Amino acid sequence: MKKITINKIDEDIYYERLENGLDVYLYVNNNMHNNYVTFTTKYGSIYNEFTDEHGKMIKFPNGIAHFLEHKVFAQKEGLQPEEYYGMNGALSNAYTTFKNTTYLFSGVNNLEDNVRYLLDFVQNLYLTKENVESEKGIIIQEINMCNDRPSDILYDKIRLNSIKDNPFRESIIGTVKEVKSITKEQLETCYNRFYNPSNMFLVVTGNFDKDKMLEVIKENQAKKQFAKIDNLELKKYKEPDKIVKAKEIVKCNTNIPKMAYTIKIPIKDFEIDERKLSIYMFIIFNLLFGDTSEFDEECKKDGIITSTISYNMLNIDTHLIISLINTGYKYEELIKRIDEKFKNIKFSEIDFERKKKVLISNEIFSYENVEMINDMIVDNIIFDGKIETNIIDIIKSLDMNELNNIVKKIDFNNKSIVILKK
Amino acid sequence: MKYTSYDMNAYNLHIINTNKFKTITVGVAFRRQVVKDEITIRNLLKELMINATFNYPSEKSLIVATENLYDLKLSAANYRVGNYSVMTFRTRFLNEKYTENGMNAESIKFFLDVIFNPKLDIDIDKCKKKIEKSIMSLKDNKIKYSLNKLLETTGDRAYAYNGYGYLDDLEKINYEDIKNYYENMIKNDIADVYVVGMVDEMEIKNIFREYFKVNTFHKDCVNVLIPELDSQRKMLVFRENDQVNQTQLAVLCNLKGLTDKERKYVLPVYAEMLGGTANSILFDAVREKNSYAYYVNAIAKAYDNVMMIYSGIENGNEDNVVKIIKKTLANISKNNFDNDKFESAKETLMSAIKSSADTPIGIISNYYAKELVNSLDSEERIKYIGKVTREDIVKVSKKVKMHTMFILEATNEENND
Repeated sequence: MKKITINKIDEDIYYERLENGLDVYLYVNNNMHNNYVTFTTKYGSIYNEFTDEHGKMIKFPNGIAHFLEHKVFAQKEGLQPEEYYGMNGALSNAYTTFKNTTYLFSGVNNLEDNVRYLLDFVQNLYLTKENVESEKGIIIQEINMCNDRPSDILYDKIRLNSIKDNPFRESIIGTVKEVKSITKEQLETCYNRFYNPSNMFLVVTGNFDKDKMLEVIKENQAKKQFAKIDNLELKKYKEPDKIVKAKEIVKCNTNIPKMAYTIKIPIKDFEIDERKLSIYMFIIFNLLFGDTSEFDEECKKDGIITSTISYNMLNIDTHLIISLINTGYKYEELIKRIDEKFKNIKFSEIDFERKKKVLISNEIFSYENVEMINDMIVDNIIFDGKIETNIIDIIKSLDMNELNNIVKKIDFNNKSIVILKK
Repeated sequence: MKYTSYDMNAYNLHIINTNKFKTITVGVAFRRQVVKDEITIRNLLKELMINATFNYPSEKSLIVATENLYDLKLSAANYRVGNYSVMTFRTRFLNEKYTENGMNAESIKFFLDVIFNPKLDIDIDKCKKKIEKSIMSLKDNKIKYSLNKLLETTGDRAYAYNGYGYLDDLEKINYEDIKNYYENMIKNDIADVYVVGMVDEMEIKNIFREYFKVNTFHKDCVNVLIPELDSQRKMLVFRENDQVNQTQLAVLCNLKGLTDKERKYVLPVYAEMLGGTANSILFDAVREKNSYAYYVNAIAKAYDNVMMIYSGIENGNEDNVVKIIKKTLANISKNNFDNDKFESAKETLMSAIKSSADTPIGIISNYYAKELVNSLDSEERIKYIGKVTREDIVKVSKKVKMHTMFILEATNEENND
């Protein structure tokens, strides 16, 4: 087992790649009662065009990764996962994002058996025509629930109006029509392509003996056979730098209007590590619009906003999609003020250094519970392919000149505005 | 983990000394009886108190100060348990082991300054707008909205009031009202203080003795328990239409004649088994077997003497779902329920109690429940829950009666394309 030490925080994570390609990450904290375990495939909603075993590119309906998540949960006979985990007081769940699907449980008892069970149920798919059909009703209700939430509608619109040729523009769950079209065979194809150990990783965080845990996992995996995945090629997308639609007003059943001001930024414009770049972006927008900015203070004083603008960043591999989001009636005035602000950007060294201090503190804060640590590991693997061990040093190395150079390269006119109102 | 409670005359200082965390958390809770007319001003006061102090006289300068204290987290919240209205202030900051010497004391002093030295006369309009927005946004959350409407139908009870506040009240509040209410609260509310983390207890005690400026002693004479609802021969049904895709169904059940033990240990098991997790009886029946809904839940409000069942369902299926709920409740009272689900519900609750000790907030909630509802220690609670029998569940289920139903009916036609 390899020990990965997070420098300056003095926390250790253990790592091993098993023979079948499965990556295992273990984090032990013997002060805790709870254990939190995630089993992730690097397969999310954006991977719906890829090659079959003969090298031919095939396309699948949107929402298929999420549909599969629902079905991986269904077992042929005996207990269902939530029943099994319930028996020893653990809770199980799963979620699908753009880039991954994760199955998880948390609980205080029976950790080893629970880990075995997690590996077993995810690595065993049971589909029938009937159980695929009956799932559609449930997913359609989930879609309806999302369509009744104004903030979900807003996020969907932001992506549609800023991303042109990339599956990031579609919703993770798919539309009712797409979900209805999904077949058992399609689900099986996707499962076989992406639920292979070589495309997956297991993260165990909690109170346990790391050597024994690794043995349990190895023993479980050694008993199973997996086909080798050949010819798997994901479709590559060419995404234009320009946004799709500059402004749209969407009629929607929302009590208070919502506004999103989105900027599309090509990553290729910057010769800098992506992680560093996203930290810089966070600092830039936080200094400009965050709760310690003059902008925030003035807009609140003038009644333009009642709560601080929230910041949202989506990395679509080629571009950063950065949105400033607010709920309130005076959105037109707010848009004008944001436009103005971009024309006149100045940062103070004191503010910049303070934000660095905040970021460093928050790295330490995040080692407070096993769920947060697990989430952080998953996030690191999905976005960087590895655990960042020098995060504190990276933050310390940020500097004002580099910050200013980045700002100069951002085209603030490449913007898309979405307004939701009655 | 070592727990010590110090009687500071006017309040209790509870210190939970533990090396589990890299942070120190301090929570201060003020409580009094819920009064409908005070809900809005309590919400506004909470906003104003964490907005500015005399030492940091603007929201911006206050936040900059928290950032300088290694991003100390500061929050305030109002919530209700039975007849109690609780206003809590919380801070969480890095233990000085990870920052610099003296920061523990400095951070706690800063926090107490927020509570005892707030600047309430600026930003009243700004904070009013924030409260107004939270009242208005209730309608954008269909689940919360439906539950709120359901409870409103019961009339003059603490849970029937809108916890977000009332626009009419908000408009009338002026600086004098706020100042008076603040002084009244500091003087008359019952205060409890919790400190969780690796700390020097003497140092903490001394800081509080000097800076925690509550010195009037008061007795708690509020009965936390809200009286039961009158029985209804037939379930009341209220309906509303909305342009949404999904119909919301919310059912209020009356709890009649629970004993203290039933309330604390049997009812939670009952509600958990009925509609707590994805392993519940209702989840199985409504979602897995019939695909009527994406979610269905049951929550027991033990000290309100009610339980709520709610679900977001496909339009037109409400009668079917109500039938399933009725049948499920009836089956449980006939001792006709799956033993695995029963045992699972107990295990889930026992695990939840154990893992609540993994977070500072969980630890504080456990100890605060001692003050609010005479809750026992975690180990004892786990023991009692473990001892709950099927017969106990049957007995409690006979005390659960469906009382009122609220349906928010979807009128969007385009939901199935």
